[in-house]
Amino acid sequence: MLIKLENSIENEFYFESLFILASVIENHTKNIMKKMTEKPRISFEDSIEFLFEEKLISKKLYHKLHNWKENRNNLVHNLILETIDEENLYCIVLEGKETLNILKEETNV
Amino acid sequence: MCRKVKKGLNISNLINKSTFALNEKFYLESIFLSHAIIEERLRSLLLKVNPTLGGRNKIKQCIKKINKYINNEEYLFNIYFSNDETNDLLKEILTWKGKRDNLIHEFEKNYDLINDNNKLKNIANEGDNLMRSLNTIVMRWKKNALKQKVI
Repeated sequence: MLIKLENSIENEFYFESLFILASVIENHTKNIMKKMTEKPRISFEDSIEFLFEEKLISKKLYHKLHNWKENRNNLVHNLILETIDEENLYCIVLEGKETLNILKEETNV
Repeated sequence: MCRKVKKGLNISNLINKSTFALNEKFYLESIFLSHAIIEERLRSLLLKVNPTLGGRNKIKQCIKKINKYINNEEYLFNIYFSNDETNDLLKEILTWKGKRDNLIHEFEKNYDLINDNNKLKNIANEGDNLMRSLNTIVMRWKKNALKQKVI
C-alpha cells in the first residue's frame, strides 16, 4: 500500500494519493473505534472525536485530522467549479502523509 | 470567463485526466475522478430543476431522488431518465459505487485486491464508461431543458 502511495506521489498522480490516504486514515481511526465500541456504522468524524475523548491521540493530531479532512473535502467539493491547483493538491497529499505517520506513531501501529 | 463555461472546461479537463490516469495504469486516480464527476453531474441535474433537491447529496441519495421524479414531465425527466437504457445506467452506477466503496474499506486489510491490477483496471474502466454515458445524457437533457425553458 505504501509503495502504491509513494509511486503515485512520485508520478504526480495526486488524486490516487488522496484516494489511498483517505482510505487508510479513515479505516484506521474507524477500526480502532469499532474494536472498542462494536458499533457497526461509524463516521470518520465520530472516530476522530472518539479517539480524542479516549485520549488515544494528542490534541495536535486531533486538529491535524480535522484540518486534513476539511481541506480534502473542500478540494473534492470544488473540483468541478475550480481549476485544479496542483500545488494545493500536492500540499494536501503531503499533509495527509504526515498525518498518517503521526497517527500510526500515536496509535502504535 | 463565466462560471458555466469554466465549469464545462473543468469537467472536460477532469475527464481527460481520468482517461490519462487509466492509460498510465493509475487506476485509483481514475476511479476517484469518475466518482467525483458522477456525483457532481447527478447533484447538478437535481439542483438545476429544484434548488432544494441537490445540496450535498451523495450518489445514492441523488439516484433515489431522480428515481422519485423519473416520470416528471415538467422537468423533462420522463424523456431522458425513464427509458430502459437510463434506468440501467443508474442501476449500474449504484453497483459500481458499491465496488468502489468496497475498495476503500478493503484497502488496509486486503493486499490481494489492492495489488490485483486486472480487477482495479476493470473497476476503473467501468467507472470511466459510466461517467461518460451519464455526462452525455445530462448534456442532452440540459440542452433540451434550456430550449424548453425548464431551467
